[in-house]
Amino acid sequence: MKLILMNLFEMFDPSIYFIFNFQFNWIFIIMSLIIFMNNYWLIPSRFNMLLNKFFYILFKEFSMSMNKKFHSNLFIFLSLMFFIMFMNFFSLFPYIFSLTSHLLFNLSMSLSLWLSFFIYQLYNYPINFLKHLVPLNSPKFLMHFMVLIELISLFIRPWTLSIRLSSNLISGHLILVLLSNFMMNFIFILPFSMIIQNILLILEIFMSMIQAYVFSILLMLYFNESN
Amino acid sequence: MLSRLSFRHIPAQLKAIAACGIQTSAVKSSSEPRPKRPIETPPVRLGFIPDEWFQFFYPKTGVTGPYVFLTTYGTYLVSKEWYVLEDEFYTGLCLLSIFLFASYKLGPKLGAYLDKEIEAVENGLNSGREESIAEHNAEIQNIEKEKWSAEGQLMIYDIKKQNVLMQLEANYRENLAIAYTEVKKILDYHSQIDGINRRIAQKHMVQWITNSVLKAITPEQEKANLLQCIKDLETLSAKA
Repeated sequence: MKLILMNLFEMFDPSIYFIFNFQFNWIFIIMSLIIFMNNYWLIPSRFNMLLNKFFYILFKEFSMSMNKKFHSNLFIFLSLMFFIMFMNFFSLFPYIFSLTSHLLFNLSMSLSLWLSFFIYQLYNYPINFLKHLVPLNSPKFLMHFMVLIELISLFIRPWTLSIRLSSNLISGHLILVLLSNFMMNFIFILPFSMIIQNILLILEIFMSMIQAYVFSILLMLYFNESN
Repeated sequence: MLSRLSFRHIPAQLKAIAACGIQTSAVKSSSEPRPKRPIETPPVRLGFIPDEWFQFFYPKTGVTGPYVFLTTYGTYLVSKEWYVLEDEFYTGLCLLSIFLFASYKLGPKLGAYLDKEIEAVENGLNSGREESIAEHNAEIQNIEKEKWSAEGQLMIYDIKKQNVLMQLEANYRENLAIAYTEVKKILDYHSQIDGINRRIAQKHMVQWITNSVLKAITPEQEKANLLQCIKDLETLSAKA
């Protein structure tokens, strides 16, 4: 088991995470089983109850900002949030590659969903779409610019979504690795640096949840706008 | 070829089981206890290591065995550089400390809260069942009461039957008395008639006899009689 980084950014290279030809990210597959199998019992276990509570809170939170007509679509965003949250959270564990720190991964989620909403709107409500390109009460001479700016702000949405997530993850992991490098080199002040690392880790744990929430709720807002 | 060769070494009993097919093996497997989901979490040591692992070591090595094993194996891995203490190790150490802290400090509270919630769910599920049980119990009691009252009804039937019999008896006796009185009346009537008839007949007989006697008396006889009477009176007066 050797995972010594030559370069700090090497930790975002998935190829170095093969330990004995096994990548620990595969344990995500078991996670679905752990969640799924609990539902075979009528009375929930503690873990299942925790998940249920969490889901219930999230459902309430999400359903507030969603049109009631489309409540059945909430589950897409909820599951997306859970997916990203698990990815974020488990990337904090050692020897697990952080998938969500890559645009390849984030963009494939945000762009595909956003593009589908966009095409849906363009196809079903084209007038509505075009109307929103010029905001209300904008001066006449600015209209052309406004259209351009609105278009840019529209097309930049999936990029901002994915870049927000990946930049957050990258920054967090970088700081964590920097500090752990420090711990490795200055082992005599390990207790002190561990406290700082713990604080950072708690921050990162919460960030992993919050970023997933932000990602999915923004996508949901885009979905709301497209209807 | 090889598979056939391997099959040759399988004992005859197993072959028979295999020939019988799934049914026999299914019976065999079903006799084993069904797996159950553990309701309570199994005990752990050091926050996350299952107690079973320590129990596994206990008969061979005693109490300190697993700890010694952990430390020696760890030092072996580190000293031979099978496991290199790089930055991921320290991050993992910190993460472990966070989880241990959380499980020691927040774990019991969270567990208690979740247990309460689970109990609420369980009670919610049970309440319907208990309600229906209570309903059925009430129904059973009702039926028992109905049965009891049906027994009372039988008693009432008996009493009514007795009553009817008594009434019939009374009626019969009344009828008997009526018949007796009626017959007595008739018999009295007949006896009275008989008495009257006899009296009339007697009267007639007496009348007929006196009449016929009176008719049979001739004037000479009368005269003689009268004379006899006068004579008698005279003798009587003479005597007096």
